[in-house]
Amino acid sequence: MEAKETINVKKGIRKNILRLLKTTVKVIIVIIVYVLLSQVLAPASVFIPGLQDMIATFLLVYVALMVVSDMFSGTIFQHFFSGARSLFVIAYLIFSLNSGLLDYTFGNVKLIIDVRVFLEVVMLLELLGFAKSMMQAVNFVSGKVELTVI
Amino acid sequence: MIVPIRIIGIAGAVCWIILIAFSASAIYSMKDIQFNLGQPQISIVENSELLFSFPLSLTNTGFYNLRHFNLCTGVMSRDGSEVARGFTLIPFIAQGQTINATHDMKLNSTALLGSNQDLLFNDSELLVNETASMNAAEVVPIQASSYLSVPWGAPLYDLMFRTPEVSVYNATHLLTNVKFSFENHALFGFTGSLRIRIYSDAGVTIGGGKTIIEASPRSPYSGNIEIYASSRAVARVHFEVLLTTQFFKYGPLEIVYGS
Repeated sequence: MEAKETINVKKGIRKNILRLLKTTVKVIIVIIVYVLLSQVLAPASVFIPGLQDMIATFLLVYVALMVVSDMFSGTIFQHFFSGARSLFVIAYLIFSLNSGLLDYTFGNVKLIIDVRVFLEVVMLLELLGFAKSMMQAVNFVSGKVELTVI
Repeated sequence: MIVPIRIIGIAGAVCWIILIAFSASAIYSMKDIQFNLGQPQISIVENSELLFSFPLSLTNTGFYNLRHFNLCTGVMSRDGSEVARGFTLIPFIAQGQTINATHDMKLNSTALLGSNQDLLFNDSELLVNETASMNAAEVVPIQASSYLSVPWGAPLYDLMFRTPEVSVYNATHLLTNVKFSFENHALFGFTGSLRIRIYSDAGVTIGGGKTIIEASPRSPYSGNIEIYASSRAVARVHFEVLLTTQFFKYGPLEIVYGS
């Protein structure tokens, strides 16, 4: 009995370490993408003030939700946090991109950038991600129910 | 259910990668678009309108093609009325291509100077609204607009008529020589005629004359006009001056001489 418990604890520790590693790798990938994007987008920062801050804030919240979601891996909350992340991305982009019409003024020059097409594609992808999270939640619950019935 | 979820996940990830790569490269490409507007060439077209032709050069060395490059220029007088408008559309600029075009703008000087006669005599400023727009990477509309003021040089700056020099021409007529001068501060030269009529106190025409004016751009001009007038003794006369050029008409200006 004790031996079985020890094995379970070991399994649990290994599982948690793997989860942590997986999350760390994901965060590192996101940070690498951010650093690369920052360098590519550096020329645009001249024309779009606050672009770097906007991306940094977005990534901070995105990574936080991703970490929380991964920490709750194996529970139904993982899918809820994943769905919340998708809704956050939609809401954040709508607000930060001013509904897709960016309007900047430099001295006597007014610049308008219409990124509605980009926003629409992102919203569609995030809605797809949200639907996926809900499907995963349903799948998770149905799996639990099947186990209980058996 | 696991398989559809995985397929959705993979499809979503692929779409995200494509979207991020496209967005980043499209924004990065913006720095490789060069736009130059040169000094204007001025010519005269039908209805005595001034045609300003700006050489326009657009170089696209970015990753994507550009569509619907549109340059629109509107010139307004100080009262806000539009006096000139120019419009240039380049439908497609391929990646790596340089397009040279001209941005034409017609200025109806007759209308401008007719409604704002002080622009004939006083240097001023005109308000220019410049708007450039295009579809970057073919799908991202971008528009930049700017208000700036450009100097307006008066074509008849400091117009002055000197005191007429009167001499006896014959028993019935006097020869009156009127010297005049002005500075043409405008970008354009003009030719025209200056007519002067002399009226007696009673309003009867006692003489008149005409001279041709050829004023070069940004240069002073001086001339004189000889008028043969009846030698009937009149204590007080008034001159009526009428200036007609291909761009504007001015007058009648009344100048009174005598006591």
